[in-house]
Amino acid sequence: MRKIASRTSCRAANSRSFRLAGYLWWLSFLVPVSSLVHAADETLDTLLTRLQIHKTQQLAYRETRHMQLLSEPWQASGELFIASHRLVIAQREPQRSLTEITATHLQHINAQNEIVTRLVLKQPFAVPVLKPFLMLLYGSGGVGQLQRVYRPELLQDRTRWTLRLAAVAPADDQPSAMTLSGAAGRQPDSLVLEFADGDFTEWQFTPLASGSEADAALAAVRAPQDTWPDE
Amino acid sequence: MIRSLHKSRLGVFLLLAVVIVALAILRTDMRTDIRDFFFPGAAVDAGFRVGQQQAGQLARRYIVSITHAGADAATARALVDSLQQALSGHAAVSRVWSGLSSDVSMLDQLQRYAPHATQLYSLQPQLAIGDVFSDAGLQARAVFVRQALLGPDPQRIKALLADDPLLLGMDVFARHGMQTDSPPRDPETTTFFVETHHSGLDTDMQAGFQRELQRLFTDLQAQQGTTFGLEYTGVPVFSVAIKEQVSGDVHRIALFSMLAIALLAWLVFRSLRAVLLLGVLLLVTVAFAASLSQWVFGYVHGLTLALGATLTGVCIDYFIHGMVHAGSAEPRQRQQAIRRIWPALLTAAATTLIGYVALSLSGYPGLQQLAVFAVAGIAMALLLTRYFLADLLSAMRVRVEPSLDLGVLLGTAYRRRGRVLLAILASVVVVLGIGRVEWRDDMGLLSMEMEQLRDNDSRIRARLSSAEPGRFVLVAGKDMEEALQRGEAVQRLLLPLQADGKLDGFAAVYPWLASQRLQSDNAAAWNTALDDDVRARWHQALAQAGLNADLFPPLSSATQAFLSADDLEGSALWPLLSQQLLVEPAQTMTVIWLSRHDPGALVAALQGIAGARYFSQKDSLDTLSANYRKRAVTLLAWGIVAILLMLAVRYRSILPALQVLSPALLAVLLMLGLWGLFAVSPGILHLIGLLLATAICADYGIFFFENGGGNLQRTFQAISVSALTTAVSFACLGAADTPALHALAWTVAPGVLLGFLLCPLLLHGHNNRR
Repeated sequence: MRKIASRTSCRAANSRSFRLAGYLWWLSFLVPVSSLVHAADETLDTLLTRLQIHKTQQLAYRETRHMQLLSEPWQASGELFIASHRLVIAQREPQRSLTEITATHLQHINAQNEIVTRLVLKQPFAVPVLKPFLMLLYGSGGVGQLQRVYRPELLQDRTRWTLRLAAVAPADDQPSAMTLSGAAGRQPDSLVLEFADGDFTEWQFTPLASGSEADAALAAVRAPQDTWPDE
Repeated sequence: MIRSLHKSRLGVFLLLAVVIVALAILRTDMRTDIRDFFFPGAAVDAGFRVGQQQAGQLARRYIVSITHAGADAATARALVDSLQQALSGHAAVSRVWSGLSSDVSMLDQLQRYAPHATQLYSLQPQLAIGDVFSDAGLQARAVFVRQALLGPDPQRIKALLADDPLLLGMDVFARHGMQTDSPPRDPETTTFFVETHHSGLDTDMQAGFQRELQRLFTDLQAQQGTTFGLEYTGVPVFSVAIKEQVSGDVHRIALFSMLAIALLAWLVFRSLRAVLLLGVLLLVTVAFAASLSQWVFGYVHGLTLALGATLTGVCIDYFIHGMVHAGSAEPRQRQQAIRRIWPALLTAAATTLIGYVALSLSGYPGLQQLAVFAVAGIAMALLLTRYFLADLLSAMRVRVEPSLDLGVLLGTAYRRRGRVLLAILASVVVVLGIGRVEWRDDMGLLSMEMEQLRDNDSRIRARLSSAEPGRFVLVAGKDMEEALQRGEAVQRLLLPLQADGKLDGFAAVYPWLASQRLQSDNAAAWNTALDDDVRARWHQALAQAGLNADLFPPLSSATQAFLSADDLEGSALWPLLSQQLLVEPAQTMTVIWLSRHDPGALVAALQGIAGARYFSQKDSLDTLSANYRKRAVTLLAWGIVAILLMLAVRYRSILPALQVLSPALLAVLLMLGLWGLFAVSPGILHLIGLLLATAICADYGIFFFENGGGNLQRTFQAISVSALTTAVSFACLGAADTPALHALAWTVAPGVLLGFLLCPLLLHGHNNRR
């Protein structure tokens, strides 16, 4: 824990008014310091608990894929819904598509409303390319389970927390490392998935809604060629 | 001394009775699938084996449909996922899935197929490779590769590109892959499949599982706090319903007929002990017949039990005949009375057995079991009558003086008027009716009427595009290579039918496996067309699609390392594929499953392809049934000739033999004529019913003709009681829900009454002369 302190000279220490000013001066430090102490105090265990899904989250996202096979990075954006039983990626740009991940399967519907990918998951939410991220959201084994597969490293400063996971046994179809970060005391707003071949994908998240409002938005999500609620 | 003899025989009887009934209750394994009764055990047609295999697998499956109109998609999805997870972990469930294609992870399979993608690419290699290597084709492939890389699993796609740079494998499976059993994305319903470990015909287990499914759904629904609808169908649903109906029938009929016969017997004999004795004798007889059938066949079919139990209508005649003759005699003279009628009983039993043995030769497994049941039952009834009845009557102090007296039927007036009426009736009915009889061989008509279940089944299946059970294309060749080549030829014909809407979809062996010739043709077409120009244009297409062309693997020549069935053994696909490959010493067959289709169009399309044929299990079974029925009729005719000869030997002349059989034969002719007049279409069970009626009426003829006790009034009294109890017990079958039992009820009951009424008309004078 980084120690934050300040020294004050109290040249008018015997004066009541000076004493009052001194209290106020100290108080002005206490509010931000308390939040910093909260963030800096967070352990891996408490972070994992906080990342678990308790109510549905609706996030705006921007995804950037850096792949050597692409002549330039590819960007996509849309909405991400993280609910207790499923994760839905409703991509709006550059074209619409819908990816739904549940405990048992992954299903990807393309812009022509065709199911182009359907994966049967051998373990709940075990989608290889998102494995570390989904493990944090839907895994229930805590730090012990995480450490069997990844080497976790939690970094914190005054304003942000950063969790880095490096795969213990890297595999070609899974990220070899993941970096997840967010503002102190907040949910993550950035995700980077790195692969052994050098490719990586960045995600940026902006919270839109949570709870019943997010549930209602998720219920309104339709396949790409069906009418969407805002149209 | 006599009393001690009575006691020792009573002891033997009681011991026998307890052992036999206990064996029947504890050891009988009852089956209820109508196919076990009618389906040939060793069918020569491979189609039947495929159909049976398919039926066996399909019989373990449920199609579960959750309707969630009004509920939001997330809540519905959550409920379906939870239900699927709960079912996946259930001990009775082998797997849960949402479509045949998701049985195996497609991306896993693509990795296996990537090195062979070129060789398996098309059924028409020249044309297809030409299209791929055109400018437009290469540009389309490049765009496809980019889209795949930008899909949800880019790492797998990168791995595929090393062996399959154009991702042809994904294209092949998208065009030809499993096209059946995919539930459509209906926003208001979610449909999935559940397969159990146990047979669909294991009704106790399936009934328990259905209750468990309902409970799981109700619990999850309560947790969600929303109302959903659960519907499910499949063979197990029907088999449980059939079992319940059959059990209901058995209990209802048993109750009705026991009450009716007991009441009738009490009215006739005015003795509860006589009724009890009759009941015990019948119980031991049926229990022995069931036990022997179980021992011979390893199971007893419910229909055998139902039909066999009607043999009580035959067996009861021996007991009643014995009771009427011996029961009125003094205890010391009872054995003597039984001995006097014994030759008639023996002759009657022999005629019945000849009829059943003849019918069993028709080839129906069910009829063979029925013949064993009948032989065992009749033999036991005869033994009980001959060796135990007299002593049992004495031991139970039963004295029988039937109050029923239909002596008026022996009078001159009845005979005179009756013969005139009979002549007119017989002429009209036989002449006008018999020619109009139309036999029916549709087994489906014997099945239960379960309108509600069938509606439910149709509604759920309408949400799917699934392989039709029992209808498929069978392609045979002398070896695997020829069978595969012919199968590919059939597929080339099915694709246009699909495009025309005459076939919803099909699942064939290709593209999972192709003949060596097709693989070679694809490789040759690829290698011939591939040159530096194609490579340069591919490089350009990749760049145009926004891909880093220099990093892509170069297009290389197709290898001659062809994929064979051996390579696929042990793979996740093999359980599916092996159901479509039948390798036998003399030939190999491939099976193409079909979704909804137009059979006429399919049959027409298949003409001209050697070794290929459309197979419909129902049509083939109906044809088989017709053949059996014709054979049964022929054998029955020969059986009647054999009975005639046996009676002729016994009476030392053909004329009395004909006379004895005349009431039975005329009753049969009248029944046939009446069916023709009233447009009743008889089937195989009507034929069995006629045989039963003939056997029973022949017994009456023999009893009446031989008049073993020397007292025609007493003999006719015995026959009257027998005829009434038999007619009543068969009429009770009319209370069943099973159409098969209706057929028997309304054949035997009127047939027996007709035969009984004809005895005094046709035999009385002859009997007097004898």
